[in-house]
Amino acid sequence: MKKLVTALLLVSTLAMALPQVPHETPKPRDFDFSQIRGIAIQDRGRIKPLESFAVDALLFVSNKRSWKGIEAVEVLFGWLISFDREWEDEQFIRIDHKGLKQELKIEVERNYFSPKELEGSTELSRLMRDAGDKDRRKERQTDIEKKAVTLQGQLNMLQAIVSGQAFNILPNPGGLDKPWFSIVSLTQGGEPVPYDQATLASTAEAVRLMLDAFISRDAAAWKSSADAVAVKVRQLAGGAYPTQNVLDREVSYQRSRPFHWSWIIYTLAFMVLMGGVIGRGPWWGRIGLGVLGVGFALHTYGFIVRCLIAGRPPVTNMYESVLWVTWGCLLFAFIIWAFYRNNVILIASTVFSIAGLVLGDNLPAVLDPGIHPLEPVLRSNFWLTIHVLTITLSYAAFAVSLCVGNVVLGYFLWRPSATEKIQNYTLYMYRAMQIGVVMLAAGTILGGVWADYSWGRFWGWDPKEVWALIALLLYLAVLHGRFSGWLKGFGFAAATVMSFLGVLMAWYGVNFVLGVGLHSYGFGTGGMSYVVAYLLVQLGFMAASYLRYRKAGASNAPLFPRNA
Amino acid sequence: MIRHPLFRFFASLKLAVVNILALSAVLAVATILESLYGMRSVYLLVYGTPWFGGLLFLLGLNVLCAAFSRYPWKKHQTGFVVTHAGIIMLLFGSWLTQKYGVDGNLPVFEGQPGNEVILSEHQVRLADISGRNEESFPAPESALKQSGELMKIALSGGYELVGVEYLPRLVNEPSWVASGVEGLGSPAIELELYNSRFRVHQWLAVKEADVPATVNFGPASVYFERLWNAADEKRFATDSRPKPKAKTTSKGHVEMQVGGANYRFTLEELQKDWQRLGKTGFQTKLDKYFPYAVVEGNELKNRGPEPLNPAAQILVRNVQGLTEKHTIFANYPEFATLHRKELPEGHKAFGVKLSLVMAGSEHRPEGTPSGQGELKFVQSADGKTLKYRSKGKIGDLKGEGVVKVGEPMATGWMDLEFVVKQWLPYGVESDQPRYVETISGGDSNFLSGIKFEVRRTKGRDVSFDEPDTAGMHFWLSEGGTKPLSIGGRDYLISYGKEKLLLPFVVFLDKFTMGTNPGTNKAASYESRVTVIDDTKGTRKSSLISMNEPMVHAGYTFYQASYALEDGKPPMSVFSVNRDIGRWVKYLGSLIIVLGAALMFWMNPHYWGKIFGYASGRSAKAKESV
Repeated sequence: MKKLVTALLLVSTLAMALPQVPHETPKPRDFDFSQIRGIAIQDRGRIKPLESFAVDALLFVSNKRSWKGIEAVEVLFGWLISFDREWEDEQFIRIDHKGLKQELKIEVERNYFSPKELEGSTELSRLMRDAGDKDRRKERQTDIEKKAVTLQGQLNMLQAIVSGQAFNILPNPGGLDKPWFSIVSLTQGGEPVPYDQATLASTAEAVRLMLDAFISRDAAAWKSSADAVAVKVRQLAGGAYPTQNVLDREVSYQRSRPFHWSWIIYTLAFMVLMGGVIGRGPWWGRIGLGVLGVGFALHTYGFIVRCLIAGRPPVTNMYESVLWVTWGCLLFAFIIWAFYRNNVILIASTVFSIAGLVLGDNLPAVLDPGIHPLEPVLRSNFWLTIHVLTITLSYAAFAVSLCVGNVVLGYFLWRPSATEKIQNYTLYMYRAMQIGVVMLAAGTILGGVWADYSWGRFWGWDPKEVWALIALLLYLAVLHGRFSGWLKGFGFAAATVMSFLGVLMAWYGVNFVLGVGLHSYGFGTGGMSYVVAYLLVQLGFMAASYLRYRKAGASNAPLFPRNA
Repeated sequence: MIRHPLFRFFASLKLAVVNILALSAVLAVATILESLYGMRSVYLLVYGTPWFGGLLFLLGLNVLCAAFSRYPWKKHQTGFVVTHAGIIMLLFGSWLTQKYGVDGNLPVFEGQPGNEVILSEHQVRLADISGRNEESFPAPESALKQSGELMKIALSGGYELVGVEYLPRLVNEPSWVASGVEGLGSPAIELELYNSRFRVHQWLAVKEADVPATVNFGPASVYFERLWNAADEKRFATDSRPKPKAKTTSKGHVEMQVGGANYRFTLEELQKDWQRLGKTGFQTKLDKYFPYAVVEGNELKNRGPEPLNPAAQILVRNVQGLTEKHTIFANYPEFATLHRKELPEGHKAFGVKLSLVMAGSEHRPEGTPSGQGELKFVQSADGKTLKYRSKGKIGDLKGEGVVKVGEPMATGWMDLEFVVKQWLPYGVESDQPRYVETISGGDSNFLSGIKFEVRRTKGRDVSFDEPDTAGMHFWLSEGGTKPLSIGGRDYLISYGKEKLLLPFVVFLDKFTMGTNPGTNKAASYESRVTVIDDTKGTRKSSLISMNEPMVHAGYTFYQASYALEDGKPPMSVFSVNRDIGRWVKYLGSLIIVLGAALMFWMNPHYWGKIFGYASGRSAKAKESV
């Protein structure tokens, strides 16, 4: 790894022998990082606080938000300043693909590797060459090659941080949309920067003091120099710098992790509400509703803050759609609950929201929580946004029908004689499905109108739109199957639950399995094992339920309760 | 009629369910096909086929019959009837678009006019050599490779042109095949040259007898030469002896780059006296050398004689005597070497790049300047052996010998290895393109190609005074044009997408692309165009951007994409479209959404409780809808 810090320190007053670096394992410093977290950095087309950059980087490289109790920002500075001392031998680079590990001839059992272990890997170079060749020849890359490309991306990210190239914290006085400069510009003979010599020199000095303090673990010196750096970079900007409020809001969003706490509170609410079902006391339900309400409020809050930070609604990637759909799922659950006052609707739907948010919290490689600028095609178009939000919201309604449908299947499995309950839940499931069908139909058609308006094609048989249509058709088949009398009781519930696979394909599969089409701005890889696991569990549950239902015999009871 | 069994069949709900499921299944398969073969192919395989049209027609008929089967409609069926009417309208509108619409692309370079809209159907055009009397023939198209008699074009003089092979996705890569005749053809090798971070793979062929084939790969120059006689062989053999060089006793050397030229001095030379950097006017000298450099008290000091962290301070002076002092570290070549504080105010750096290379260190960090190695292949005069010789960047011999085809061999520098994958002592260039069976990542920008063969129609003898061109064959890939001489006549054949000439011209005044801050990623793009319409005698300037199309004379222009290539003006690609079904589709869409909303609104399950609507109906009536 090429290191920046040595270049900065060469001219420092700190006496140190370059070739002799005592190695130590990274330990948290007792530093105040509050000031430095809120310094602005330009990264991948967006100005963000250093905190966001650090969290994104650590998630990308290590799949973690902090490393052994060292917070992301400190890790970031550790890589920059004290790489060969603390981090070079630390096993923190995440590789979880078995095939890739075998190919790289590294321990398959281990998931974390040190930069030293991976440096100069000829196997990785070979994989990268093959992947590059295939890319040029427009051939399909193997999974291992794709993962190798990701790993190379992780190493490049690390390299960019270690070398200081990624630290674009020197603002461009020409405006926020102009390229910023990295701290490499502070080294002598670096890239020319449009600042006056005196300010530049004093900034370099402040940065140097900060780096010195980091190495010597001097908390007081760190505090004073970090404060100075924060002031200096703002001075350099000459006004072209985000306000501290904006930066602080994002820092607090990153650190408060509203979606993380949402699912924890949802889990609590789930347990309390379940207590209400089992224990039958009125207070369980009321407390559970209250807790769920708090979780939902937090989820909503986090969502709004994220929109404010990004300056747009959440339509860019899978992660944001997961946040939105899990939110919508509970929204519809609340709406249906408002009509029928049955807590089971909420309990069932909470499961989906918890699952979604847990995945969003733990799979940064698949569901990237970073806030990125919009693709041009998605930019500033009201109807497009409405089209995406409507379609994804329909997924949320279908999720409710899926959850309640599974409750119905559960009754067929464990309480096939509870006819009234089955009728009720079938009705709730049906309601959710109706909402979904109207929204999906409207959203798909809106998409067509929008596409026609901006691209001149109403319907282009693009896989994303085709799969949205397939999902719609599946639910329409279920509805018509009910009208025609083909689907009754178990069949109706089972068909509804199965139709969600269409949604899953439209939502996840097109982007992650097929990976083709015009909607390529949302493409990614990974997460397949989770989807397959869900499928197996779902099919197994349905099969068990079916066998029990066959044994119990079909009842002649109407599908819905009489008073519905 | 309502009672007719056929009508009842087409109106049945069960048919609807079957129809919907069948459509879903077909669509699901189609998306998978698309991921394998691309958009156009799946259109040919599914979406554009009559049977798929039939499936949609059946669905429409089903919807129509279902709607009429409930006639006379009751009030609560309003939503149902409206929705189904909307679906029929949408399907009808789509049919109109497919049948009568125009949909194509118009690429225009900045500062140039354009009016040729590229449509999606393929055709072969044949013109006489002057480009006149052009005739066009529909070309075969398919999602998969085809062969046989795919198309036939009759030519005068008893010849015909037959399309014998078709590739839907191909890549044209230069390749060579054995000529089949000993001594006839050009020597060719398929060479792969690689190290851990670099790989090239390409053919090298000696096309002109006395000129070696040359390729420059950055770190290496590769030559391939054909030796003709004993004299050539001898020349090669004697050249191979490396010039006797004094055994190097240098500690290391300094490489310098200035004004695009490279210079190299040993530390000893630099220590002795000022050295000239060619004719640049610069002179250079070693100030201090530190085998084991450390920084103490803001100063560079030496800690010992072992070369643990070699550093050198080098003076560079110009003709005015102005001197720069550079500090270079062998282990840290990326460090800036020039320290500003040692220079007078306002000094503009000479722009000399330096690096310190210690003796015995083959390790060259990426990005540092380096000379080129040389790899030379020769084919012996008898065409029986292929030899190689590799030289380092200062002309020193690194390796030589006889090439074993298919075996990796070391060049001896920069960890570079090479493999001669194929060696054709007598080869000819092949125009056989590479077939791409399945695509990746949805990028379907592949070209198709047709192989033509010239055949003689039966029952005609060739007269003696014309060359017999029968049996000649060639590949033509999409967008390609080729002059042909058949049976004594000259033609120009071209193959590509059908084109539509607009009755007006779109002139691209300016293409602008906005990027995300600090990146090269496109954030937005737009085109300023002037539409020059001679039929109306008008000129109109408009701006076409993402989501903001322009309409002229019934055609709508959308900003679809762009291409920026070095040495060419920016190109903007518009999607051009003329769609008479548009308003039918829009109206159908509106009606469907309206109908769905009505179904909801009039559904007593939901709103009945709140608004007391339709409370008198029985459950039975509700179920019947």
